[in-house]
Amino acid sequence: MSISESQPIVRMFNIYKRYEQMPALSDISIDINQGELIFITGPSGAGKTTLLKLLYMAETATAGQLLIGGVNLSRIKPSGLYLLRRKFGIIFQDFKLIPSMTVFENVAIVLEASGEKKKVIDSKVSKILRNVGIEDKKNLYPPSLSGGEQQRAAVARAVIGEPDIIIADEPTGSLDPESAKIIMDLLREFNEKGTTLIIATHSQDLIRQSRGRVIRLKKGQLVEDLL
Amino acid sequence: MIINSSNFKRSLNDIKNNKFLHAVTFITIMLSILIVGTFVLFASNAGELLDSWKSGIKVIVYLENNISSSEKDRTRLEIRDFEEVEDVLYVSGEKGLEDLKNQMPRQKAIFENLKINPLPDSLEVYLKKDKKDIGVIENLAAKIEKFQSVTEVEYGKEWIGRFVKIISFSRLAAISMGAVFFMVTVFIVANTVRLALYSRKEEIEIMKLVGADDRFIKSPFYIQGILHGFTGGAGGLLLLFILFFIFSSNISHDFSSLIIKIKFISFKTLLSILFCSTLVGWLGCYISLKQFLRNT
Ligand SMILES: Nc1ncnc2c1ncn2[C@@H]1O[C@H](COP(=O)(O)OP(=O)(O)OP(=O)(O)O)[C@@H](O)[C@H]1O
Ligand SMILES: [Mg+2]
Repeated sequence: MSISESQPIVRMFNIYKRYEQMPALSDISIDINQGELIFITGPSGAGKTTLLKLLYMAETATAGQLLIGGVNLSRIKPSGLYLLRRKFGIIFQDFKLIPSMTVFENVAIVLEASGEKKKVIDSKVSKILRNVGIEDKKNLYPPSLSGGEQQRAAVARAVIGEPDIIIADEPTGSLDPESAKIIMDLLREFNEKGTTLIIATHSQDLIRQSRGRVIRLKKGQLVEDLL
Repeated sequence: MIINSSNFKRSLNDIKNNKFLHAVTFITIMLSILIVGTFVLFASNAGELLDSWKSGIKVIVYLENNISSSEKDRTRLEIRDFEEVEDVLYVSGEKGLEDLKNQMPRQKAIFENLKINPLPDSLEVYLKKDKKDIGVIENLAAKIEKFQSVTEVEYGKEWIGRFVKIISFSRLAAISMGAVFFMVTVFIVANTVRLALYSRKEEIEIMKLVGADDRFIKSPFYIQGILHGFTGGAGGLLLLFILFFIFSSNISHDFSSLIIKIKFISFKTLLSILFCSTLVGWLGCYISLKQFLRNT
C-alpha cells in the first residue's frame, strides 16, 4: 500500500493521557517511520509504558489523535481491535505469559490465533525458541522459569508473528549482559529487515550500543527527540 | 466456532484444570435428562397403551331376554348399517358364560354351580379403525340405547375418560418438565461458563493483546458447552436405560401377563432428547459469552 508506506507508520498529534485526574502524558506529538529504531527513555513514572499502551490500544488517549498505518485509532471498533494488535509484537514489561500454558503454547498461540497450520507452527516455534535460547524449557510452565527465561519467552512470542512493529518495554530488564546481547541482536535483526522497533528502557548502555532515535520523556512531557 | 486440534486441546486442558466445576455441570445435565427422560418414558408408554387399547375397543349391547331370534337378527343388521360400525357379532348368553369360564379358569367352580345363566344375549359391536374416538362411541351408544330390543349398552365410559385424562396429563407433564429443565440447565451451563470466563479473565486479556479475535477465544468454551450437553445427555439417557432395564426385568415376572409390555423411549425421541441437551450446552455458552465479551 503506497499511501501507508509513504506516510509515517505511527503519527501522534497532541496526545494527552490522564489517569483519573493525574496527568501521565502531556501534548506529545511524534511521527515514526516504517523501519525506524526508536528508544523511549526517561525516569521511572515518566510515561514510557503509557505511551506504548496507547499504540496498541490497551489505553485510549484522553485527548489528541493517533494514527497507525494511516488508520485513526478512534475509528477502530472493539470487534476489529485484533487486526490492529496483529500489526504489533509486544514484549510487556511484566511479560504477561499465560501461566496455565507451557512456554511452547504461549508462543504458539499467536500463530494459532491467526489460523496457521499446526506443522508450520511447530517448526516456527521450535526455531524461535532455539534462537532465544530456551528450547529446552519449551514444555515448562512460566511460573517455573527464571525471570530471564520468562523474558526470553516473551520476546519469542513478540517476534513469532513477524509483526510490522515490535514494541519492547524493558526487553532486557531481567537479563544478564550476555543474554541481553543475544536478545538485542535478535530484535535488531528484525529491525534491519524492515520491522519498526520501539524500545522503552532506562538503560543508557542499551541505547549507546545501538544507533537509533532517542525520545526522552520526563513527567509525561517530551523533552528530547534525537536522531 | 472453530473446531480444530488446538481449540480442542485448550478446552480439554481447561476441563482438566477445573475438574470440579465441570463435573458439577455434567452431573446436573445428566440428572436433568434423567428426570425429563423418565417423564417422556411414562408419556410414551401411556400413549402406546391408549393405542393398543383403542385397537381392541368394542361396544357391548345387551338384548332383552324375551325377544325372538329374528328380532335379535334385525337389531344386529340395523346396528351393522351404522357407518362407524365395522362388524357386529351375536353372542348368546351360553356362549358368553363359556367365554367367561375360559377367561377365569380358577373361578370355574363358581360358574359350574350356577343354576341359571345370569348373562343375557348380547351383541359385540366393533368400530371402524378411524372411528375409535370417545365422541363417536358416545354418539353410537346413545343411538343404540333407543332400540326397543336393547336393555343396556356398555363401553367403559368412565374408564375411557379417566384414561384419556391421565394420558394428556402425562404428556403435559413431560412437556412442561422438559421446558423447566431446559431453562434450568441452560442457566447452570451459562453460570459454569461465566465462572470459567472470570477465572481466566487475565488469560483472555493477554490473548486479545497478542492478536486473538473473539472467535478464537470463544471456540474452546463452545466446545466445552457442547461436550457437556452431549455427554451429560448421553449419560442421563444411559442411566435411564439401566434403571428401566432393572425395573422392567423385575416387574415383568409379576405383571407381564396383565399389564401391556412397557417399552423404552423410541430411537427418534432419544435422538431429539440428545439434540436438546446439546443445544442446552451451546445456548448456555452463547448467553455467557455474549455478556462477557460485551463487558471486557
Ligand atoms: N493504570 C493506571 N492507573 C493510574 N495511574 C497509572 C496507571 N498506569 C500508570 N499510571 C501512572 O502514570 C504514570 C506513568 O506511568 P508509566 O507506567 O507509563 O511509567 P514508566 O515510564 O513506564 O515507568 P517505569 O520506568 O517505572 O516503567 C505514573 O505516575 C503511574 O503511576
Ligand atoms: Mg514502564
